[in-house]
Amino acid sequence: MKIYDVVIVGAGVIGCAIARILAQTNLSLLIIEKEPDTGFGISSRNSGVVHSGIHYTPGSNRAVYNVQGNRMMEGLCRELKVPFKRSGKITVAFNENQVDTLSALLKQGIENGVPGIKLIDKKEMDVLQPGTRGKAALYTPSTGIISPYELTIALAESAYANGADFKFNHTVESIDIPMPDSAQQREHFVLQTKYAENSGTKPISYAAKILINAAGLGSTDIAKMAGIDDYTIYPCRGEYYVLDKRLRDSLNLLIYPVPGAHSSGLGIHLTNTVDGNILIGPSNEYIIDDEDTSTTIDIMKTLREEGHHLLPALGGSDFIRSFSGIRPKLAPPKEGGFRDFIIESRQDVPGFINLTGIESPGLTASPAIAEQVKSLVGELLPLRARDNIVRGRPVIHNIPFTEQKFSTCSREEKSELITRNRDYGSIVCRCEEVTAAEIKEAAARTLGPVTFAGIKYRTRAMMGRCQGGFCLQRLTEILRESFGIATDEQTLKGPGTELFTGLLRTLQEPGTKESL
Amino acid sequence: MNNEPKFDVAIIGAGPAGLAAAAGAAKASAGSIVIIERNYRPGGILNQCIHDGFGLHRYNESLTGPEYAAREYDILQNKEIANKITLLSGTFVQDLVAEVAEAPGNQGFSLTVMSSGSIKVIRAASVVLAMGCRERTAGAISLPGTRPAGIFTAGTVQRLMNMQNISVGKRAVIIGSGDIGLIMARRLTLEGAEVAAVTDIQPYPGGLDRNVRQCLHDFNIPLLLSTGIVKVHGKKRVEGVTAAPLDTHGKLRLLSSTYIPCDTIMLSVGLIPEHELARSVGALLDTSTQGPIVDQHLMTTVPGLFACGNVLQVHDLVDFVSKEAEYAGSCAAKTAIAPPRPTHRLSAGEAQAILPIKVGSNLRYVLPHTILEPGRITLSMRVTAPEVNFRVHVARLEKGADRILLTKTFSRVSPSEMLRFTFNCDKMEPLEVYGESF
Amino acid sequence: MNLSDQDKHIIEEPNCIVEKPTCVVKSLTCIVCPKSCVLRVEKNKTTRTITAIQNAKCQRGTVWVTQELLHPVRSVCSSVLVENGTEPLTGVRTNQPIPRDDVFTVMEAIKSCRVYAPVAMGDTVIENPGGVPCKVIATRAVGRKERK
Repeated sequence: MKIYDVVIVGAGVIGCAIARILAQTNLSLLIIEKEPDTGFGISSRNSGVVHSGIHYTPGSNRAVYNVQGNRMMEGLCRELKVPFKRSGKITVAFNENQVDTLSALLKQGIENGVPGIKLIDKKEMDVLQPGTRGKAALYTPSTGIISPYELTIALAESAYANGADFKFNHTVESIDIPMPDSAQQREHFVLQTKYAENSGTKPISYAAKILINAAGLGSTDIAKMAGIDDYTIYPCRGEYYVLDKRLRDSLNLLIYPVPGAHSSGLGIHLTNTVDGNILIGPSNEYIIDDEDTSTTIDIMKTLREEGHHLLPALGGSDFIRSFSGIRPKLAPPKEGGFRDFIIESRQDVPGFINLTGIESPGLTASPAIAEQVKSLVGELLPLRARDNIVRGRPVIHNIPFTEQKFSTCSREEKSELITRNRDYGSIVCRCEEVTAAEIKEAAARTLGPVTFAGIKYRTRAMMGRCQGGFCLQRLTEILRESFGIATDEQTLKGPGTELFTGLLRTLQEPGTKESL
Repeated sequence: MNNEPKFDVAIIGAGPAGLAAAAGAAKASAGSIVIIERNYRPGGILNQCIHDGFGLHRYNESLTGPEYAAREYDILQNKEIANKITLLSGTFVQDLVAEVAEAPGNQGFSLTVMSSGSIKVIRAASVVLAMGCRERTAGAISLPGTRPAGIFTAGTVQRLMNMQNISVGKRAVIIGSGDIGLIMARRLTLEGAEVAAVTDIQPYPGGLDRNVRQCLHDFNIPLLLSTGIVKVHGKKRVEGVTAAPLDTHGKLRLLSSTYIPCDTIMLSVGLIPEHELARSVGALLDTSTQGPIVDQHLMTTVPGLFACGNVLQVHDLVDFVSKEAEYAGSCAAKTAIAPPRPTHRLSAGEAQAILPIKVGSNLRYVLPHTILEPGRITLSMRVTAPEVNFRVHVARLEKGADRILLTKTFSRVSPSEMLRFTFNCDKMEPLEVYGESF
Repeated sequence: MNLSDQDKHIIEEPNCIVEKPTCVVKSLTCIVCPKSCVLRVEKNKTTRTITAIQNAKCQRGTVWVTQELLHPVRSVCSSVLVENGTEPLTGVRTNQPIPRDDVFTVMEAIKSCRVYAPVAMGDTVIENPGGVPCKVIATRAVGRKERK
């Protein structure tokens, strides 16, 4: 069994950010992920905001890594060709108490090193966002928006191109920690994993000198497998509604209300996404099941009402889709609020680097957290830079990355693309204007198995107003004809989520290959 | 820009509306007509409607969708008109721009069209929108619960099954009792799948009585009216739904909820006209129909831009689509030859000012929205709720004796069945169309 | 042959069924012509014959509802596998209505049938499916797949 220098459990934005940095060193690296693709957990289910850093206690991990990450994000996104926009944000106060909170946030922000923040009055608010209500606001120009799933995918691709191995659909079931002085004389971590949901199959084992736990909602489970029982995660669900792009010009920047002192989130607010939708949300609800990403009647109703209140121009059909994300909170319901990130190299289990409780602003902090984890690894193993580091958004499976989306090209550019590759002339997703060429490129570059969700995150197909009504039919044909994935094996998001039971009518000869 | 080919009429969509519009335009002496269709064969939604019931009015026969489409397509093969018509299939209209008029009446449109391997611009003097509609989604109805695999809209399942030979599941719950849901309930049952229930939030079925009988009663499929969905269950694939009756205020009576196991959910919760192109070129939309505002010639508020079929208003009988579209096509042809009135794009205020028809009690909408000139007008409308012994009045807006100009009586009306009748408008005066039970 | 006044409300709700001691009262919407009259029909439980029909505006309606209640017929529309075609399926339907009780028998024949491209609209795909006297005809043309 190969002994990896480092195994990372979890291919979310944290795990992939760490993977990218470590892949640029001489260490051998494996990332184990239970889903079929990167970022299927919290990393794709959030507001996509790159926070400024005003909300966090000075000196805390959240404050330090957020501000650092915010600074690093623009350059990182430019290198990886991930859409990023520094849209700015106003945190709005509606009464005197809240205005006082704004002053406190200003002070805190300055202490945290947040650049460019200032208190603004109603007149200045109106210039930034005409018609905004409220008495005063704190303006943070360094707040940005990003596509969190595109970032995660890009980070993973960078790691992969620099030699990292990925194992998708692998769930870690147990971990043997190094016990060099025991009878077994085990020098390394050994992880037993199972493939997908297959019970009863022989576990697949991997060995590592260093184990990095970046398993998000599953991080306390992974820690427990290594004998670490210090932390409990209290899942806290946030529901969102996605609004149609036709309202994209209604919002110039992010608008948040002043958060309550012990609220477990940042309050329901409007966020533009970097693709032009508007998100309403998130809500806050402690739940029991950390996999329950349901949306609920009451909250969806509240989000709709909030939406109509904040944007009177909204029509019913502008609410395209609702989704939810689950925060891995370390603060129990009675306490509320936030506890700090745990990023630690364990003394009791040497070689185990534990990351847990990484809720907001985990996305923003990810590049900075990765650097910190690298230095923790450096304390355990000698590090040097890898030869021939692959930089930028790499070629994957011989396919280069096309940065510009067809939908944003000028007519001349479109004409050129279509001449080069006729598949650019075939529209697959009508609402988002995604072409067959882009679908095929995305599917071919997918590191693990191709799923509909994976294609959705890479191309935006199925994210538009018809939610797959037009494109699903075309996507299934492309997957079958161009990628050889049989109809009954095409999944939404991995084993168990097959969309179709098979063919309606089949040829009857046994052993006949279905050529339909 | 001015070197691209210019057609008299461009029709977007070769479904029943587009095909009939082409026939109408050709018969009204348009010289050159182009039909732009995104699929590789004409017929539109009819291609996946393999059930019958189409053409009872128009052909006096009960045809399946593809057969009706073939009849309509055959009309275009008639040698007098065939050489006037160009069909671009597998082609997508990517952009529609109203050209600025160099001289009054010299306006037209530029359409950027795309197909595999090609992108080009087509110009036309008038354009007929015939793109049909799309289905309302789970997000649009705030379907609560998880998002497992196995949630589809009914039309998508229809296309997957009937055209792509794909089976989606074994036991379905259908949300919404509109015709599409009812037809698919039968389809699934005949294929050996089970339909556990069809639910509807309304106290009456959304589709035709005949379909309730032949698609549900024939197979003892339960129809749960006044029932809403509490939650979808299942992490990976649909496992079931919890449904509950609605009280008179429309709230779910959770204590009476039932769990219905299933592996597939099909949504048949309404259709929305594909109004994006109309909107992008500045046409005003009616919030009730979600389609463009039109005058009696089916011209939108953008001069030279017409609309017909499901993109204008969601129809229930394709026979009426064909009639409406033929008329729209002929009007578009006439506009291509002589300039339309008015010659500029209308603002909301101007649209209101041109003799609007007021939508009165008991009606959800009335088309057309405005009257330009006296003549024989086809009015189409839908009621807000099922009624018996119903009268529709066309009346002068001004109150007073003798204001009623025309009355039509119906023994039964329902929101799922469009009402259509003609009205002779002699005088230009503000009108109201309203309904009442008697 | 009039039904009592208290049953008149049935006309407002088609597809209604009211059980009475000796008979069943049903309301059905006639499909013969666009008038779509809602017919009230009384069927005797023991003799299983129709004893009353009300609200039919023409004789065709009376004939139709009698058949619909005593010997209902249906047309069957479905799809048949096409081999070597540009599309995997062609739509099919029975060329005439068949007894409702035979629908699933016809479906079994349709499901196990296969045709070879090209298929023309109107082609007879199955004669007397499962012994039920009718033809199953293609409703959509499917061309032959070109050899690459």
